[in-house]
Amino acid sequence: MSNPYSELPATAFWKTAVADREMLEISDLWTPKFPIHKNNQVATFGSCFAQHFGRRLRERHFKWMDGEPAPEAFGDEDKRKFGYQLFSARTGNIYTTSLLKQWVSWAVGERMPPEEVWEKDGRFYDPFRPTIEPGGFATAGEVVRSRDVTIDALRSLIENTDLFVFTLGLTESWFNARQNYEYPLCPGTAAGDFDPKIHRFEAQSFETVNKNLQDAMAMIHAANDQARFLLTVSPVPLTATNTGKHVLVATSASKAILRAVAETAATDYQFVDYFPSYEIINSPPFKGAFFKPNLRSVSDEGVDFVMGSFFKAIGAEDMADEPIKDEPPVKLNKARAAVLARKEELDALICEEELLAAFGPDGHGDE
Amino acid sequence: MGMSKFNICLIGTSHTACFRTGWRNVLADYPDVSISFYPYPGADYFHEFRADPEAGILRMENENVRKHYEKISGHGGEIDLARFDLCLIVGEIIWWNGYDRRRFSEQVGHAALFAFIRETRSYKLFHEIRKASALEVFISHIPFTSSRRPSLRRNVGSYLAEVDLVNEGLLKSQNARLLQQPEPTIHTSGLCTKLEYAVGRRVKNPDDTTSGRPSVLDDLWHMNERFGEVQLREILEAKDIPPRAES
Repeated sequence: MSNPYSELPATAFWKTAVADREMLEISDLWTPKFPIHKNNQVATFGSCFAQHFGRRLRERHFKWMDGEPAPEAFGDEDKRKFGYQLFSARTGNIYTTSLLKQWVSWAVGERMPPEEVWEKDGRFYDPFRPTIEPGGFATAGEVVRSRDVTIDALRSLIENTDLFVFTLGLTESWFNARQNYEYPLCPGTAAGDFDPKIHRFEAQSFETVNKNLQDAMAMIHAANDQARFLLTVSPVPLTATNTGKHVLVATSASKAILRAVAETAATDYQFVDYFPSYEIINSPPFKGAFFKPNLRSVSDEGVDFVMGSFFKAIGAEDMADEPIKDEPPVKLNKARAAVLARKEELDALICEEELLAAFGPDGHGDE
Repeated sequence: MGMSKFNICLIGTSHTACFRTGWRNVLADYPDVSISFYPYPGADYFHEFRADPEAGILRMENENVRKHYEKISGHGGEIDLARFDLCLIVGEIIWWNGYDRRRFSEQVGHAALFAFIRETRSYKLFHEIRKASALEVFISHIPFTSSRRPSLRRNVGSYLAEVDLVNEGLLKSQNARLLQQPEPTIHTSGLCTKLEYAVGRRVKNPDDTTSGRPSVLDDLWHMNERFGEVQLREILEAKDIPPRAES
């Protein structure tokens, strides 16, 4: 007798889709809602994990949008050091949907960016991108000018993007209580001074995260009604939580909220899709194999598997297997191995969250 | 008792020419200085030098360049760095255009300048030298193009500050120095070489195909012997080597 399950494909059943398969043979996790072509202009933003997306798109010669190009002479090391090509503009990590909304509101002119600038030892820091300029800016004016360049770049990206990829990372955030704007990092960690009278913590609820994402997408759509969105949830656990809960429990709650928000948006809107990088890294069948020994950072193999799944699903699998032009598959000599080791080092993504760990109980921030 | 000779090894491109001609004018003033020239047109060959750290030698691996050295100056393709007191690398770096201060912070601009220098063939040659020797190295960039009307886009002050920055931030700690173009040769109102340091050098006009006879232009790119003379005197002054008349 037929029933609704009898006609379903193998991917609908745990046994055939997961339990009977080797880990790396689990496939067809995602069917794109809309086609993604190599000639689509793609902008990438979000938390640390979003950096992988942009880099892999660039490597495969997709039209990844570089809204704020680095000086021509810069090599990979300088670009990484100064926050170029990590995202499509030099925003630094945008961990929360409220931060996304804040950046977009500045870009489309809904709000003016605050004038706050942090100073330490004669150098100046951007509270909204505290690690973008190692060692700080030369003047407060330079902070504002540089931020304006990024905001202009973001506006142009919003107006011209075909696909806006955003990785949702965190639900915990720090605000300026007096003026109600958000910092990407708690003041006093990477730069600035923490003042409990001014700085307010918030663990954002599903409703808040959801509303902020919808508001941000609405502003982007108002500027560019052709823009589509691809949401992902970062599989990277929290470095630290200020909720009073165990960090593992707080991570679970945070990721559950972000995943639900992404699902809601993808269900409600035709122009929004969700790509399951979170599931690929975190689900039980993968047994945590894609994490590095700290059980937090995602290994290169994990990123390869995630992005391989992405390229396969959009029909660009062959391109995903193409060796990168400047890396012919040759037998390594010592010098070559050294170069690749250096590259591997460069591949380590910039994650400001690591600073939180540095200022935690074992971090010895003050020496 | 006479001083021991101060020996300079000069490796360079076609821009070496004005040093060679300029040196003829001044060598009588510096009897205790000698220069060994290793010139070749174009800087593409810079990367074909290989250091032999054991022997303290810089070896030219390109046979054509090696033969050229033998023909032009009697030197083979090996430079025994221990014989020299100073190495001068000439004529590959076209000075950079600066950075857009509206787009980039000062720190990013400075990092871009260092990245620019690191990517030059001259800097890479310097590093090859360093593998074989701790010899002091001076690097000279290509002179600014000569013009009657100087560009006002960039000023001399910012150029000199950039040279200082490279020396302080990149080269000084490595016993090397980027030479600034001698200030008297630069227009005060822009980054151009004064015409008087270019006229007299001629070059065939590559665009003249109509007359059937070769025509010549002033070479506003390579500079003349006066330029070489001024720069050499500055180099020797920097090494505290006075001309004979003052010694």
